[in-house]
Amino acid sequence: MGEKTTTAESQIWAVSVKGLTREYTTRNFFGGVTRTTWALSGIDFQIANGELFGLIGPNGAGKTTTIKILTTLLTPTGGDALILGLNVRKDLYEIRRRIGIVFGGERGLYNRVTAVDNLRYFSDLYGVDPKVAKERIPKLLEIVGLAGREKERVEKYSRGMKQRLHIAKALVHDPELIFLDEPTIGLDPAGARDIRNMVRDLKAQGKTILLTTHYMFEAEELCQRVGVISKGKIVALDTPSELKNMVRDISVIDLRTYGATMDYVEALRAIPDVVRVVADLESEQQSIRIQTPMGADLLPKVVASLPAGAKIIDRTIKEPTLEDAYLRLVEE
Amino acid sequence: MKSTEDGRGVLSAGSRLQMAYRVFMGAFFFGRKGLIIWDSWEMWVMQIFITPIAQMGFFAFLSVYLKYPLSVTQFIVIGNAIQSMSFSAVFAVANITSQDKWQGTLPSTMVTPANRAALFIGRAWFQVLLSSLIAGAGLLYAATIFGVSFAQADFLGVAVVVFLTSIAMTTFGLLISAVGLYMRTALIVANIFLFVTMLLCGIDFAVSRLPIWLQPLSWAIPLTYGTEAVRMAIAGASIPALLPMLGWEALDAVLVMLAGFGLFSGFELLSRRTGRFEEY
Repeated sequence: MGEKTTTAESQIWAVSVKGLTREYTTRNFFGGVTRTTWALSGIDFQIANGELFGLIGPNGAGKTTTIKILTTLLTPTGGDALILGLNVRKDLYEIRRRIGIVFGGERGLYNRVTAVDNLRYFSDLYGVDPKVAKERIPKLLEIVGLAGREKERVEKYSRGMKQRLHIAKALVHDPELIFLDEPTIGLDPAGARDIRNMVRDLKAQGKTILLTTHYMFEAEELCQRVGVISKGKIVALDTPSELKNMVRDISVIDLRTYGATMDYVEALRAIPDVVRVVADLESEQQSIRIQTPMGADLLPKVVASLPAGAKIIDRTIKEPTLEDAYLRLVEE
Repeated sequence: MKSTEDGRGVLSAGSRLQMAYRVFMGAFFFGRKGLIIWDSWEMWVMQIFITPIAQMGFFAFLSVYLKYPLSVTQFIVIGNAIQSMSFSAVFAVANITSQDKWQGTLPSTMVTPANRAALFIGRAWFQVLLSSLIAGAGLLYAATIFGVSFAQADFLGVAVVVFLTSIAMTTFGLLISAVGLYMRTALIVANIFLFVTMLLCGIDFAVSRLPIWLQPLSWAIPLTYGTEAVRMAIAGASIPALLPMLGWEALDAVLVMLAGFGLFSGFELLSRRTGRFEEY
């Protein structure tokens, strides 16, 4: 440890990360280094007790690596991280007792057994008193909306139900600090909304939460502060509204089109006042997001670039969101 | 919970021990349901009643085909009755950690504060009971189908040998299971081990028939002691007479268990360094 952390500091910060680094080295048969990849390049951030902190970034940016290190699943190759005042390199046992983790996706549950069996097993692994577990498990099942389905094998559950069970599993030992690693990934809108409501409730109970997500509106809606991570570095860290202020010089034109192609997107990008264009061309109706300082004045050029046979079904001019700030940050 | 903690929220040794007991019991009951993939009544019936007869029948008829004397065939039958527990004690147990990996439950498990020794041993303990039943069924077939005489047998001795051998073989399963923490699968190692026991443990022929340089390896595997001891017990040896053999087998099992746990702990450390918990 380079620096001693005082008790007062650990009372303020539930998580304190300083210069955290993780490199992966690939070696050949003879032990020689063939490649070194930097998953984290010296990141710094703190999370206050009771705070709901978001970590956002593109795939491979380092979000999950950060969570793995903070939850003691991976050792850092440099820097320090304190969890509730405890060192992630040395105080593994104490940290594990006091944190909970929710992994995104369907994996991570015992599918051949029931929800109750899963929760009982993890209660045992966390050393929860059986009497306490007996009272707590039905309450948790009620909270996550699985009461009445708790005796079914998990393999019969929908993705949303599994994700709710993941949350119950993370809470079975009543942790102070909860890591949520993309908890709404792959869920339908209703399922994702349920999970977000649960996250809000946890925050209201005073839990400290670190949430990673791909969905900007989710981070904006839930998090008090957000760290943007890109290529293993924190490129911005502030409240969602302050992050949005970074892009207040632009407006956003949202288009819903029919028949638009990549050529149209390229044509839009070629317009001088267009800052950025993000398009989803996969569906029958395409969505295209244009960032520009011109606002509605850009629309004639947008329409003029439209190829023959394509049409604009709907257009909206909006204030920039966290997603616009995020796009600027990760692309710079 | 607070009363068990000191001012810094650190648990006392007694509380840790109590938690380790809970982990052991939880892992014991859950291991069968959550981690042994063939956990169903049909599979149990097949394991307990069909596995031993299939294996014993194959080797007994091979012996008959080769025109071995009846005493040799019965020697082979007893050896295979005991060895038939290996599928449950070694193969199934070796698969436990790999199962955790395949189901994606290994990170969730390793992020808990669970006492690793209690977790490591507890999850396999049910297989000790199952393995004893399999070998018991095998010996029943030996008596009823293959004509092995139990007239002189010390039944308590037979039971003790079977139970101890089940424990000892399960420790080998655990040793191989530890490999699954780091490697993508431990099943190849388990397969190799099953064939090695057929060759080295006095199942189909006496250890003394092996090349001298191979014999020490035979006596490093607890099944060799178990096979020898069960033949002695069927022939009438009482528990005091079996004690030296059982003592060596128990010592062997403890050493294998310690080696397995050492490997498990070492691989846990290595997996944390290399980030391999989720590779499957």
